[in-house]
Amino acid sequence: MKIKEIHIDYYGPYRNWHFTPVPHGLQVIHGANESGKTSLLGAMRAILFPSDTKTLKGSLMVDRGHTYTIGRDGKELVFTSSRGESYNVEPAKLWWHGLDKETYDRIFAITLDDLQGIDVLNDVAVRMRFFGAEGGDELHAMMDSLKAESQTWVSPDGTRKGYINDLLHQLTKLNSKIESLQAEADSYQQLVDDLNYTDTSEMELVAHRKEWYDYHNSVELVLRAWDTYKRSEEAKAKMSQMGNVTSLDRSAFLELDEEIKKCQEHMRIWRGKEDGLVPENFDPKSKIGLYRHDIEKLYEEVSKWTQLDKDCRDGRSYLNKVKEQLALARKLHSSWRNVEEFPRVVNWFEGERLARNLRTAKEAYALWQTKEPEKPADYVKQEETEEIISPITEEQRTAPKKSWVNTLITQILGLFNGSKPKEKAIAEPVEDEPQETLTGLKDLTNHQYETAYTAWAQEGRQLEEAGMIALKAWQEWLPKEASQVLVDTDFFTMKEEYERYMESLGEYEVLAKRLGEHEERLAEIVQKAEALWAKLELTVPVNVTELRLLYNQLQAFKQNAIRYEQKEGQRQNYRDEYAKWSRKEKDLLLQQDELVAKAGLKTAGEYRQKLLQYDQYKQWETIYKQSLVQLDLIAPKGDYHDLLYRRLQGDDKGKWEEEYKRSGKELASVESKLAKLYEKRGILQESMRHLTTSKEMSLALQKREHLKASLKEALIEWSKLMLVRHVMGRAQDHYEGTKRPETLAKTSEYIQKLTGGIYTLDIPAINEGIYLLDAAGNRVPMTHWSSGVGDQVYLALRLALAKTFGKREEPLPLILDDILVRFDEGRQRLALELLRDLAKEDQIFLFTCHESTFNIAQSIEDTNCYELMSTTAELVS
Amino acid sequence: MREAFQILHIGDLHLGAPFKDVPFLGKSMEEALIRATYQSFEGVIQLAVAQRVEAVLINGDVYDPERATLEAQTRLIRGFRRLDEAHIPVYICESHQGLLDPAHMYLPENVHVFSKTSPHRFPFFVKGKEVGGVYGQSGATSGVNAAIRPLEQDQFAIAMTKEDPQTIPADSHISYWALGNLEGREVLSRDPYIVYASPIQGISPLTEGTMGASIVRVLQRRIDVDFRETSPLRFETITIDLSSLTAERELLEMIRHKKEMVRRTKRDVLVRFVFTGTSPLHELCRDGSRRNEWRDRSNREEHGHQQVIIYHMEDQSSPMISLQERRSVPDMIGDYLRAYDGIGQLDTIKQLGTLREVMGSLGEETIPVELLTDDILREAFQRAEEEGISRLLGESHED
Repeated sequence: MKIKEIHIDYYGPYRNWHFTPVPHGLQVIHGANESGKTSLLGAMRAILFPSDTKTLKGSLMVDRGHTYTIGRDGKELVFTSSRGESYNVEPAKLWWHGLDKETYDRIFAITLDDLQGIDVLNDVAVRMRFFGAEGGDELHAMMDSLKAESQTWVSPDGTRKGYINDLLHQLTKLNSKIESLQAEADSYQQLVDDLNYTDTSEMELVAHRKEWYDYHNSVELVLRAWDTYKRSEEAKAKMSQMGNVTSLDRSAFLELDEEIKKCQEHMRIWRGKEDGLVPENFDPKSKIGLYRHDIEKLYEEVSKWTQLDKDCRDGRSYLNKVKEQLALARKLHSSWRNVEEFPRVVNWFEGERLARNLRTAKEAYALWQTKEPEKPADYVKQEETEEIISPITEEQRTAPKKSWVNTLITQILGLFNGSKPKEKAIAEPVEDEPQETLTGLKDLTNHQYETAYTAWAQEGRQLEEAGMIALKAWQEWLPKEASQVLVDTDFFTMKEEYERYMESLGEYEVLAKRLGEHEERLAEIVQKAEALWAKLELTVPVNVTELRLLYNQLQAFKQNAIRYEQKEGQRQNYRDEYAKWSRKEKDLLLQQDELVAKAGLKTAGEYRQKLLQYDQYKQWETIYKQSLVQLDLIAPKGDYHDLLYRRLQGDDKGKWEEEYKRSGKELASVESKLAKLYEKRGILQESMRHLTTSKEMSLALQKREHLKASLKEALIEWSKLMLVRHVMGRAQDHYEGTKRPETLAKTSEYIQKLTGGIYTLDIPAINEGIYLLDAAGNRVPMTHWSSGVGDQVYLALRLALAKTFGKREEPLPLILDDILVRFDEGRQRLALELLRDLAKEDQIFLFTCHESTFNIAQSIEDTNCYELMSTTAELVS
Repeated sequence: MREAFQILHIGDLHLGAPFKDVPFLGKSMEEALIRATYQSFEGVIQLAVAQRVEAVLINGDVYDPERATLEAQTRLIRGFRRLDEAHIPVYICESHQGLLDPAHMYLPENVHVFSKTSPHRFPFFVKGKEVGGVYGQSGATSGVNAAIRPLEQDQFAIAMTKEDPQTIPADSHISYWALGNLEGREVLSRDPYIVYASPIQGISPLTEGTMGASIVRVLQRRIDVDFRETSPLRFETITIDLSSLTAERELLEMIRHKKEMVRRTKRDVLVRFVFTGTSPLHELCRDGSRRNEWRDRSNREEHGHQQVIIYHMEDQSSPMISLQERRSVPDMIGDYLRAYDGIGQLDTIKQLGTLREVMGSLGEETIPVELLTDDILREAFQRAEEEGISRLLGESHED
């Protein structure tokens, strides 16, 4: 491949920059530092191989027989041919078998740093590519691809990322599942055993159930037959008790009995007819008829009885009212107390006299009081006060007596007048008197006053005494039924009240007496009526109304008696008929007696009793037979028949009822166990059905086969890849063993040229390391190399590798960036001459910042030299 | 013996056995696979009852030798009971002893299993009358065929063994040798009658073709064997020669056409397509993912009954180059082929040893060594030749 044109729209210092190199010959570009040499190298690397740079836009026009343009716009590849074809694939992939950028940078576009070291020889990619078989690049890519591909089958780390690893994992998991399912299936036998056990248990339980069922039924038979059997036994006992009941002439007896009854019926009819002729509610022997005269006689007094009865009731009512009025009058009396009996006799003349005396005494006393002497103003004297006071004080001691009497009178009067006693009027002189008297004693006139006063007081005491006598006589006269505080002024009031009351009392007593007389007469009539009532044995009350009713009954009786007498003839006829039937009855009774006697019995009743007994015997006999039939129906003759009768022998029915309950419980218990057993069997059968119909195991086994098939195929494919890789490796080894020395020989040749013939490469020792041989044949190890010699060896190696690549694949332009800096001038010239020779066939670009190098290059023929302007990045030839 | 009668003769039942070497082909096909052996067995039972055979002879395994599933056991017993109800005895000569354990299987009384220890005779009845015996011994014990000698009074003797039929003596006096064979039915001899019965259902690509039961009709010592297919699924292989095909479209059309041809069998068919011949389509066919894509696309077209399902597509076609010529060319492919021959020309044992050594040396990855069986290594090595060349050629072609 030859670069025809370099165009950079922008990258680093370059803007719309282009360069058209010559197709052959060494092309040396000189530029100062920062003139853009390394940027140009970077741009060419980035155009040929994809990189991360975004700030590049440029293209290389190359010649490979046809012209192609390889361009980059940022990361975007623009790859076209002059024939108008466009490519989406990288040029390295399309033309150089996937030559990687790293290898390219280490061999074809190198800086001084990239040049260092020989480890490039140990790089697998380099070995494969440069020392491999013909087409070693392809082999290398293929082996890498095979390795990567094989790792998609089997992961190096054993994880499930590898397909085979994943299959193995699935298989392991599935095997576990199958084992688990198998364990479940193995439990089937246990289920079968359990199911068989349920069959055994069922048989046992069914046998138990039958036993209990039979027993339960037999006990039920006992209970059902119990009453029937007992009834038959009772009938049997009754029959036994009755013994042999002889047969009587039932029909003859019953015929006679019937005839007798018939006669009696006729008799009853005729008797009834006779009775029918008697008026209704009429009894000729009735007591009403018997005492008819008494009734009529009493009825004659019915008006009188009615009047008396009325008068008595009215009188009693009136008297009660009068009595109430009298009681009220007593309450209203002011002079008479209501608590005492009213006196029948009072001496009103005496009373009037005593009242008058008392009034006279009172008037005299009142007059005496008005005559009291007047008291002097200075009546009281101090020295004589004590002596003087003494008689007055004595008087004064009597004065209260008068005052007391007077007060008593006043009080008595007050009771009648409604006023209070005039206590003060009497007392005042008593209280004030001593002081006035003492004062008066001081006066010489006091003595007169005292005398008068003493006389006046004496008179007062006499009057008082007389008054007391009159009062006492009055009080003694006062009837005890009268108020005891009455005074002379009350006399007439008292008398008037007395007389008015006594008048009313007298009227009351007259009326009471008259009422008593009426009541006596009424009692006589009632007494007669009660006697009649007793005769008639009546229980109704004794009064006029009942008498009237009784009388009415008597009237009805009398009318019925008339009618009764009128039907007497007819009744006689009926009585005759009755007698006829009565006679016939007697005949029949005689015949019956004969029949009874013939049977050895005494009365028809006995005969009838015997007939009844016979009937009862027959009934018991029927019951007995029916019971036996029922028992036969309940328990037909067989195995249980005798057992049943044995069980019925006892008397304890309760025991069998308990047995019935117990056997029922046992039966239910067995049934319950059976139900549980069937439920368990159902579960077992369902489990077995599930196990035997489950497709899970079949699906799992089938899936395992799928996995096995997939695994087998995967293993074959994986093994195939591994073996292909191995065979390719063998081919590679074979070729490498024959081809690598050629590259090394070329390297040795270049070293010899670069060192001016001083050194060559020690090829036989290449497997032990890199050694140089000097002209004398001495081996010079790497550690003894100078840096310049080292660079020359590395350059020789790169040039040899590039030559080999060019021979096998395609010659690629070499771009060398300041790789001669550690060469001396002589070696620089040798290097430039070698490059010039190599560039006769291939394009070689050499960048240098050293003027001397550039000058040497300019001095060498067939070398194209350019100056890179640092300010404009312009190339000047 | 003038009475005409029939017996039913079958090989392995393999009840409940999973299908081998078949990928997952969808849920409905999965269901069909796990039901297939049961359906075929059901067909056998119905056939036996309908044909009123005098006996059912089973020479082979009743279950998958690896595992007898519970469902399989249940279905087997159920089938035997139906035969018992129809008064049809069953005679079983097992390949693997112990699958039928009467102690745990509750086998009906009509089932007779030959022991593995010594030959045994069971009386053989026709219409209730003993006319002969059924002789046999389970397991492939040598000398059994020669040891079986029928009784003199046997009018019709049947023998069931697992020994190689080559050892059957010419004067065996056995009327009918009822044998079993995995590969399929075959009448080995007509005097005496030595018959291989097929399995009732093929469960791997090894058992291709019709599978079912043989009805053996006997009339006055004349024997007639009539085969009845009972398997609901059949394995078939269809080979397509790519030589005349140049485009993928043509190939797909050819596949469709071949499927329709197979569909006439009125059974569900599991088909394996094998591509042979030299063709430009070789590169396409070599691509496993492409083949799977064709397979899946074709299977998606199948619905309803009588489906033809492709379970595998195998490429045995050759590239357009002569490998023999390329071996002598000193180029990359020549180098590869020569390197390949370096192993391929070793004898079998050394070759396998080398292959194992190679796998061990390259095995940066970790998988159990025992997984790499001789078959796998041989197959892988065989494919490696073509694979390597194709890859190298592919790279060259790209250039």
